Amino acid sequence: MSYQVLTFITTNQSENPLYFSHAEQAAQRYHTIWRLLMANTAVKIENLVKRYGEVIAVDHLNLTIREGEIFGLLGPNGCGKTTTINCLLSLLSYDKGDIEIFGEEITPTNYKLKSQIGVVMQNVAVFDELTVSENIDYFCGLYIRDKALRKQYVEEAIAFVGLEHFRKFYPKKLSGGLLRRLNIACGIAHKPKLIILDEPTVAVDPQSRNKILEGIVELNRRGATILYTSHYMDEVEQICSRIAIIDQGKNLALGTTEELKKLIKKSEIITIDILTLTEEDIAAIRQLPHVYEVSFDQHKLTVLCSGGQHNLIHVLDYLQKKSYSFGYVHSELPSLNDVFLEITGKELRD
Amino acid sequence: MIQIIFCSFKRLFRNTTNMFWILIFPIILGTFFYIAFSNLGASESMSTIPVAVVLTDDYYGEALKQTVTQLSEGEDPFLDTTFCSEEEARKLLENGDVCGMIQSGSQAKLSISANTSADNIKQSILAAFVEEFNLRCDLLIDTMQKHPENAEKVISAFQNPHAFNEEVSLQKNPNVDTYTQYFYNLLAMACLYAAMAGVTVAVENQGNLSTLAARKTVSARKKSSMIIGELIAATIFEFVLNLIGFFYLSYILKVGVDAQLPYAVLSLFTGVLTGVSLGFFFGTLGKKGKEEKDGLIFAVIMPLCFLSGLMVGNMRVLIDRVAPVVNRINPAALITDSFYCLSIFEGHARYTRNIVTLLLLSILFIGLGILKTRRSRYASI
Repeated sequence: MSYQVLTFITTNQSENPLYFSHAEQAAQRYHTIWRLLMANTAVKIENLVKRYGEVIAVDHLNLTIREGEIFGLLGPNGCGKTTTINCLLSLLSYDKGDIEIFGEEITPTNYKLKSQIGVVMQNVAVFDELTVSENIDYFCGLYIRDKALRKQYVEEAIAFVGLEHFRKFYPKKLSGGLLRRLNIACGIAHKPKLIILDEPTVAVDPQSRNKILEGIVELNRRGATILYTSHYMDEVEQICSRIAIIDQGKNLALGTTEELKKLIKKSEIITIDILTLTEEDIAAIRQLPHVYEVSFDQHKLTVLCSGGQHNLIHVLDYLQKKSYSFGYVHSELPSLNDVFLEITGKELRD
Repeated sequence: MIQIIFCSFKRLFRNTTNMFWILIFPIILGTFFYIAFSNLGASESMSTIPVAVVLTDDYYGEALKQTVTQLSEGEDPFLDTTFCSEEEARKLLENGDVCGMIQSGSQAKLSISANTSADNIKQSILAAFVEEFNLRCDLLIDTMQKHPENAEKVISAFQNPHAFNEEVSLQKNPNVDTYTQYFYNLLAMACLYAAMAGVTVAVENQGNLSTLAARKTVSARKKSSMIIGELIAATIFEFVLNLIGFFYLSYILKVGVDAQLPYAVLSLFTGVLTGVSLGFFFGTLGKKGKEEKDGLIFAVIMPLCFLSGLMVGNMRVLIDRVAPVVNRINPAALITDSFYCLSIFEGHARYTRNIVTLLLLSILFIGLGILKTRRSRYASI
């Protein structure tokens, strides 16, 4: 069932504008789920091992990426993300394992398969002597031979990344964010089925970053499978349908954001500003349902809960019963950083 | 491949560093060479020799007087003679107004100044003249005393000398100016500077040396077609730049490097091809970046140019005596020698040998370079 049909069915049941917005979100979600259920495997990595001398950069890594999804590869610097990508692209030799893309083994001379892949490297890779449009034309030309078709694709790529006003600029004249957009345009201009983006938002201004993330979601909406690597958890959380957390070359956890967060004990973090609190009160709060850790330091009460739905209400009820005055109240769900911290014992950001 | 060639042309044209080293620098250096060498030949040309002559009142004096008078006549005389007394002649000699003083007698005597700033060449010429004059006088006197019937024959022989050696030129209009060698070497250096473009091709097609190369390596285009296209573009572009420099030397400075023009252009093209292929091969060695390899290729090219005589004119001749095999494989020497052959020889045997050697070197460098770059996967990036 297409995205358009789902939208039609859900939006025509009511004229309420709020219902329209919810209906469209629901349609989007159903369409994504339907697509993923019906999807073939885009990328299959089995038992990948890559050593650099004594150092094991990738340690028996297994990954499966379905067609049509945005798959996130999350991990700190040096965990093996880029090495995995380079092995996937047949740039690096590896010691062990099998890699398949769209059901075929990827080799350096499998040009038909390579024509379906677009790569956006971590470092900007464009020619300083060519303008924005010339750069995109060059890299598109490595995949598309037809001149007229290539011209059309180049124009679409320029419009897609928002570089219409910069087409005659040389890379040295572009800001970091615009340069990253150019880097992306060069990787996706030929409309590949699989797009691999290796940390595309490093050192990018927030505006360009949002533009890049929106663009990635749009590419996925148009049918591309995306493999997105990053050490920025908020980006990965925002756009990825499934995430693999890796560290030291190993796949530590795999699933959707919700599934990953369910892996850890922590499900809610409550923070309340309060002037004083006795030890008995702290102990009592610890006895509340689903609370597993309480700390009080510098007028800040922190309550960690595992599971449950109304933990904040329970804590506030208790404080009100004891006639405590409190100020700032904050409740947040755990982040992927919390997931990573609990799994590995260290922060995601180094 | 056409698209790759055109893109490469654009990039080469917009690369100001490349334009400077291949086009501007050789033109500037050639101009400096021209300014430095243009007056050196003029100083070696023959001019009239001033001489003071002291005559005696006898037939020796009369013979000497007639001889030097004849040599002092004409538009461009051999001698500028001043007849005076001995004292006056010595004064002129001391003052440096004359190069020598000739006194007549049974044996004409030449006196020269001991001053070290005196023109030694002119003094040597005067000495040879006086020696020849005395020899002929003695011969004539001896003949008249012993065989007077042959005196006329001897006089006739003096007036109609027979040459037993004949000078045959290897070419109709050979360029024997020794300083032209420096311009041949300059052209060879400019050809080899095209190696920088070859290094760029190598570095930009090895996925473990740059992100740009990695991006190209993972593309759907065959690496060999990218490399060949870029090498073709580099060779043609560098050849055009070298051609501009060549025409500047030939038709603006007029230093005479354009003997047998089509063959000279072929030398230039083959030289550029060798330079690009040398740079391409060199660029595949090691894991250094482009800037380091550019520096290293200069460190390779300049000694080759030195050995071919760019800095010391006789170096190529010296190497030919000591280690001739070096000149047979040194690209700079081969390019220089091919230009030299065109200006000196009419036949093309030696020229052809040089061109064939350069082509073989090019094929070898490109072949080895492609073998190094065709690695399918890298151990590390």
